[in-house]
Amino acid sequence: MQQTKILQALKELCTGCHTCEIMCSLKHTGMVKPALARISVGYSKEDPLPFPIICEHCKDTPCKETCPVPDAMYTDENTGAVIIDDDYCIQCLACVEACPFGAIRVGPNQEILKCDLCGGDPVCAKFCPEVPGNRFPHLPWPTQSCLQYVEPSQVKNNQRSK
Amino acid sequence: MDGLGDLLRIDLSTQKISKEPIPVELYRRFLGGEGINAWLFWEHFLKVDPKIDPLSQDNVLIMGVGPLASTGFGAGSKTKFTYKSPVYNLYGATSCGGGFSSQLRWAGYDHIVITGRAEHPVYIWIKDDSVEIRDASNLWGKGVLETDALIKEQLGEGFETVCIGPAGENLVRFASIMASCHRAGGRGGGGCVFGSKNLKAITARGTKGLSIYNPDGLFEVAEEFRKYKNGDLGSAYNHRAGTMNLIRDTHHTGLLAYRNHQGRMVPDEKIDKLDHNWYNKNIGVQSKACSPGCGFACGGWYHLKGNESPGARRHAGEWGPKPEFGAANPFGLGCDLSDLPEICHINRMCNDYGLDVMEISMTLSFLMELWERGIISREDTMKWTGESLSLEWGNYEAMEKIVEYATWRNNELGDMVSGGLYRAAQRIGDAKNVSVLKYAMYGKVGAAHEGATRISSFGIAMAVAPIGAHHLKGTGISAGVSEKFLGKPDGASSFALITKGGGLKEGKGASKYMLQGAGHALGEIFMAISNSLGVCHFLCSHGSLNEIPLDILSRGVRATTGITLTPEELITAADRVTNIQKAFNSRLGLRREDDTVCYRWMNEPILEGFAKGMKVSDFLEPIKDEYYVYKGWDKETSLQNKEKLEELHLQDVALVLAEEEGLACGHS
Repeated sequence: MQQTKILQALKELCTGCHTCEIMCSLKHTGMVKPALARISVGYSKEDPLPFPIICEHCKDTPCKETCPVPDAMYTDENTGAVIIDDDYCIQCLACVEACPFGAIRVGPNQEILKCDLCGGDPVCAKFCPEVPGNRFPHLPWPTQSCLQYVEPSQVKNNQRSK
Repeated sequence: MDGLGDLLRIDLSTQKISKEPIPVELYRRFLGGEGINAWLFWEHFLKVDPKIDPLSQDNVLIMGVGPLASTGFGAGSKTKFTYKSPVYNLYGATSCGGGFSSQLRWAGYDHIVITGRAEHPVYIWIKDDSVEIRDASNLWGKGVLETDALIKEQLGEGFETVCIGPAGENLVRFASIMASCHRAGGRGGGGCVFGSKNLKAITARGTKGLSIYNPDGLFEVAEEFRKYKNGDLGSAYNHRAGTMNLIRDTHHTGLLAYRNHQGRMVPDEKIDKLDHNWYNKNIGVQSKACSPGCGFACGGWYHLKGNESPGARRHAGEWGPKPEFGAANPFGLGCDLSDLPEICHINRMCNDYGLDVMEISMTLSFLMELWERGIISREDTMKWTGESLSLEWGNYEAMEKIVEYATWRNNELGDMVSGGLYRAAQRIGDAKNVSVLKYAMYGKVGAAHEGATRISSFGIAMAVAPIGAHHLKGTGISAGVSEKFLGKPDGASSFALITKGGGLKEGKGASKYMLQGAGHALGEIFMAISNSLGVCHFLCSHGSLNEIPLDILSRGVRATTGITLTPEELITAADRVTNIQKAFNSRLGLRREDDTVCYRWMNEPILEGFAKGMKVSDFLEPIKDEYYVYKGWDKETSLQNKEKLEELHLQDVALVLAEEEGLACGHS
């Protein structure tokens, strides 16, 4: 399989603006409805700092391994996205439980919400605002955004959300 | 209707809750947010005497979100509150960020009108279609941080809250409304109106979402706005430094609030310890957006390890919000407290108690000046508080104590201060039998911390703002905008300072200030547009962007709601909003002579720095002349003309004013 681009989150640049959730819901539902977003902003217990919880589209796919229905989950060849096929999904929530990052969400009506990388142009990364890192106040601005869709060579190590 | 929500009416006396759609026509006339708030407020006071005591149950509390808020347009989601101000007794309005407005909008509502008074403490609970008035006895007496946490604990994550702290409960007249813990709707005592209605909090969770007229169109316009914003230096600067950048940026003008605005420059070494560079290097952790959909992220989180400064030790381990200029300037420079961690802490403390930081800090610096002048002494503090308290400049302990006293009103000093700066000055003057009002910094009657008042573009803003001294009801415009709309750059706020009033020394009379009044009238309109559409005022303020993106805003409204409002229609609607605000104050009897600022700003010039020699009396009256003319109001009285109101299709407003002698008599 070809090397695909990767969605990464630079946690310390998250401003908690929820634009990723808003745009994700707009893309997938045609409404501004963050309750149905496939990405979310989380907080830890230790500090008030927000960070995005993104699907890592893991190579070892614990979600897909757990799924009891054949063909309900597959990896898209072009984007590398691990995708749920709604036609087969029985909403058993096994994948939700299995995800080590809490990245598969459940909507108000038990909708299973999972990132599909928007078919290769993820709107969360596209609209995530560029901010300068406070730790480098002398740098020119703006610098970069928290969510980035990048070539594998540009991936920073700290990308795991949790 | 796509992109729009309903109006929720809640009467706390009868516990009646009703919902009604908001006519599209109302959005076309007043845009939303502050604009529709203004109209709902006007309508309320057609049934209720405008001269009521703001603490009476007949006062109204209105809340609104704008059509571009909570949409992903990219400029945040502001919450607008409107009420009759308990501290200034005028039209009252305040604005804040936070997550509440978005949850409200996603639950299906754009505006709430709250009337009456609950018999016991309550909070309002909103979850999509369900709205309830619930008992708040377990929240009453709690600070803002604890209240927010308790509500989340009881109701689950996802609920966003606006609430008051003990200050609002104790009817401190300048109590603020706090959103998502640390975003303050601070001016004018909205928190006191909450308290007077026995309303502790409003909490909302919206999962219904907002239908969008043209989703692809919204993506397009959001992309366009984002490019526009990133291309602008001022906007990027706001990102990096927030409003706190003004500490360093205005230092050399001599316009900072140093020692209660006595006109001296701040020593450089103090600025070094208080500016955004010190903040970023030592305690700043991460940028923070105030509200959903904000691409500016001018806020931030600080974390104190304890070794950053002498004051940090006491608060080691503390997390809190980066102070705005409106806290750092009056606490740090006004009270001469050169320890940024202490400023951070006292700001956080005011947030928790629900106090307006601008009013309390300017009252503190006022008291400190009285101390310096020997007008009040340990004898007085002993008498008023039961302890011998020194009010020397920068005495942090005393500052913290007075914040406590004001919140709980548990001694005479606290009670004096709880009425706001103007009332405190009157009461202390009476107690000491000496006039001290000249040491209080205010415009109309509202305390203000901006020394920039002594330059023309700010001076006029402070004098004419409908809500008492304020620079965000019309901040200056840029030279480019002035060129575009007025034909010359002279209306720009920067022009005011660069030329020091356009040739003050030549003494050419009124003509030398040409276009500063017009520039302000224009700035007022742009601010009313951003305040009504529910987006951040950085979009329309002088420091941020070189031009006002009316076209992008117009297309944003179209994509979201399907309503076509041309840039010209946005301008007309905003003008209508400012005219409603003005009309209410005219009904209270305010006239031209009320559009003024305090003694010091009027008469005492800046003593050092780039703005040396500037004072408001040099320019205010001619600029007011021009401002009224540009607004289409009567120059002599400042009152509105019938023709102007008719032009804005506000005939009914003109009729009310005519009946109460609030309309200009002659024709101009």
